Amino acid sequence: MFEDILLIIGGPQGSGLETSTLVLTRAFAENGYNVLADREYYSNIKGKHSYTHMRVSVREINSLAYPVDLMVAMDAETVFTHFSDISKGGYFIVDKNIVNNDISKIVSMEPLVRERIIRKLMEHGITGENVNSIIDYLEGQGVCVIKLNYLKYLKHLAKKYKISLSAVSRYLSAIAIGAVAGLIGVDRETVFNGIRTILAGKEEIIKHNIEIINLVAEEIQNQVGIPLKLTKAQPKHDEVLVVTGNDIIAMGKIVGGLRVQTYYPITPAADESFYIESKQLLKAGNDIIGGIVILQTEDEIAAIASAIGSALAGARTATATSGPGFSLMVEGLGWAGITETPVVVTYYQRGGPSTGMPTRGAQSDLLFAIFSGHGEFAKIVLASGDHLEAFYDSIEALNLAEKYQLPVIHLIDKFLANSTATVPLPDFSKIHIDRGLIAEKTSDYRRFNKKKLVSPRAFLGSNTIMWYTGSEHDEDGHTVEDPINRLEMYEKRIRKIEAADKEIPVEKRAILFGHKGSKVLLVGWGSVKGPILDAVSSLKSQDISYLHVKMFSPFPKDFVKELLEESDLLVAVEHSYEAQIAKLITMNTGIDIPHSIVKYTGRPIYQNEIIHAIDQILSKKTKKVVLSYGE
Amino acid sequence: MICEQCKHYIPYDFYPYIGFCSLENKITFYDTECCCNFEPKVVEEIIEQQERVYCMTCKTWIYREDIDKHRSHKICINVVEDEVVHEESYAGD
Repeated sequence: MFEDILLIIGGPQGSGLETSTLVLTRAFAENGYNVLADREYYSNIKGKHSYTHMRVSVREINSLAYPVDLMVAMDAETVFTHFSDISKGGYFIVDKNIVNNDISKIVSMEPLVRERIIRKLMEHGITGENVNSIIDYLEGQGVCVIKLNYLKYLKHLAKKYKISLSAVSRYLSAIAIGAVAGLIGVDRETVFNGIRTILAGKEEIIKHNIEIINLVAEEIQNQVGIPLKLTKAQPKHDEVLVVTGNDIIAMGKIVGGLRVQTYYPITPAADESFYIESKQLLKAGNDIIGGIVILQTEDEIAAIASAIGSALAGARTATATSGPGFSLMVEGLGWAGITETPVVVTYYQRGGPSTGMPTRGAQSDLLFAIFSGHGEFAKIVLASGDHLEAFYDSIEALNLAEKYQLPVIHLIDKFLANSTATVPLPDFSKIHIDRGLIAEKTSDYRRFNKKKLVSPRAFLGSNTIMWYTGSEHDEDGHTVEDPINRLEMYEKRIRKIEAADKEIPVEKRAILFGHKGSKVLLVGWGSVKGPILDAVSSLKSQDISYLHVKMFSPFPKDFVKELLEESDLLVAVEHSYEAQIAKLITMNTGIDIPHSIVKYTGRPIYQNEIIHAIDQILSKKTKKVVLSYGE
Repeated sequence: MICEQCKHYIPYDFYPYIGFCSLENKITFYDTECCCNFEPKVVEEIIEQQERVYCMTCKTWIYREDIDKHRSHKICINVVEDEVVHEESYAGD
């Protein structure tokens, strides 16, 4: 029996992989297992290769790894793309109708990918270029290849029921689900519960799906039994959420009192706004007690401007975007800075620069986020390392923005945004809403009152007069150029970061996993947390700790400096070329981080890659390890 | 002869082994034995009747002026696109 299973389901984007992922994740979660699933897809959205890489475990899991124990190929491209990702003794499900498909005929495959795979076939000693050649190779490697007749299931359904041809993806996804359910021996009823939830309201399709799942699972079990049966789970929590990063950040914002979200659609941020929109009517029981305004604007410049406008009117406001969108927002951010307007920008990083790789991840915008905007103005920049952190951080971002009356940038990356995970329910006792200093009605109101670092804030539309301008201004908000006023206003704004530095507890800014003075200290942020924690856990005999940095402005320099000074070997880990966190640390502490593990292919960092990279650094083979595994 | 060879067979784009008979208005499969209404696919005839056709080999629509590049490919008069694909795809831009 297994405690941990890794699997891949691959096929053309839009052909049912999302449904398969959601149904299986829910089924495993209902059985008490922990699940993490990442979706990788091309930016053309429909038709090109995509896959779900999933891990199911009785243990807490933070990352994915290779090789996988099970692969389900919905098309020939998956076979060619992932044949070398499966372990010896693993299981490979393939459609017998495609076994003669040749790699040269796969039009959705990029020419460079095709050339690389053909070279890989040769390196593995595979002489043919069709699916059958791969099958022969895998069987020689001890992989159990199960050829199912996908067409047979569709014919069975078509004969028995009136099926919808324009929704065949619904039936194809059931084949993948049935295959996984059969091999792992998941309680079938929990799988059906997943189907009923995901396809709620579509009773006929649910019935068809259940029939296919049963047919496929039974056929597989008749052939090979249940070879990948998981150990019975001992769940720690009675209830869990099954959510993507986008979902849980949206939930955090809603719980955190968001009232206005502005956005221009951009991958991978837009799904967050769509989720908020689906919940925009706030209900207590059956009563609608409030609402959230979701405003899709004509571009990101309008998105930040609208967000600022709504914040000035007193609404708790955020916007969400990615690199290209944030680039457009930067001037608006400066306006928010000089007018001390609280606004949150949820910044989902993706491969850049420019359009870059819209559906691939990166962490290459850290320095851009921190130093964005001309002129100097205070902003808080924080990042989340996993789904639960992202929930709390999205609330904290709103609180910090309103407490200090400044822009807050909440950095996420595509890996976190698009991965689905089982997440324990947040602890609501830890949540509070802080609206900062709100002005009481006064006849002598001065919006930028210099007597306080953070002046009491009145809202536009209240019975209080104030002025806002992007120019330097006096306490009322009128444009002035007096040099002493400039000095005082400048310091008033900038010193908020010093106040935040003193007041925000260090545990919200950096966390040490391990102990002080360890031989090796890995330093990272964002979603590298997961693979690093899993790698360090499996390397227990080596003295390795991980410093997870959560806040970059204000930077927790004293805490970080002390830890760095006590370790022998410092290694920065990041999805970028330069390991920007290392540069930021040097800037703030004077300490150089000479080693790095970096990845900039746009694919996630895997647990096994970190383990191998640490080994390379410890054996002094290299100072910089560049990772590149994964399609 | 099988349905796939008939000009009335409209395949499903992700999985062309299942399709639709535009004449009989029903679901069929690529390897179903053809019926009495079978009409072989003749590319010239099809392209004369409609300005564009779907190339299953290249997974794209092609127009009359491009037909020469696709003569040896699997051409069909139309393709069934999945109407729930938006539920399966993340926003992309």
